[in-house]
Amino acid sequence: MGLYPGGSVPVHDHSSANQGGALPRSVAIPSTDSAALKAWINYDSSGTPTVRASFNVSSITDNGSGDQDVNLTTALTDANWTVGACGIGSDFICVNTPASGQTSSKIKLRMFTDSGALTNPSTVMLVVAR
Amino acid sequence: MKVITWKNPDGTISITYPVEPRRSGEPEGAYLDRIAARADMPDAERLPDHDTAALKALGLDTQEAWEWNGAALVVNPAKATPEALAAIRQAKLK
Repeated sequence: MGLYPGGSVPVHDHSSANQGGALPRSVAIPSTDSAALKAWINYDSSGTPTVRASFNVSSITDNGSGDQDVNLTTALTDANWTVGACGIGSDFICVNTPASGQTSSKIKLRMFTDSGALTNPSTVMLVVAR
Repeated sequence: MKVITWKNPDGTISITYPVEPRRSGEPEGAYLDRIAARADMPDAERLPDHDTAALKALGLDTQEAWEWNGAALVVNPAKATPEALAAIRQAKLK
């Protein structure tokens, strides 16, 4: 069974072979495919979080300045995931693993300015792979 | 937009903003329950759901100063930073 509802995810094919062809197409990505991204999001974390685009994200929990959780719709197969995350401009982001350990459905983010103060960047970009 | 609010063990407030869409025909309460379950907040107490429009009157960026008084979310001025208090004043002027 695929990780994604319906077992497939729509993608845009920009290859020359598909120029003028029907878009988008769908490809099946099994949950065990470690080459596939399992979730991603691009959002504004300031004030009320505003999502520009996302995949497999259920919600965002705001715990205070610079402290937010990205919660997944479909949990990963286990908690041994890895992520890439960045802000924009001088803001940067790290993933905060709680003392209780990583879970298979929540990515905890801590976001800072380059001077080390907690902040809520206007752009947060996160990808999750497992 | 309805959001889910939580009281953490240390008294701070967390807010969960739904991202995934409501299913066709799904009651709002069931939708928020589903989102809340996936937010995975086992140590937090779920408070009544709030509408962001109502929260905006308090200044959404002042969340670190929010407290639950047993009936409503309130701002504790002693915890609020000068910037947060300014945000509250600004929000109430709007």
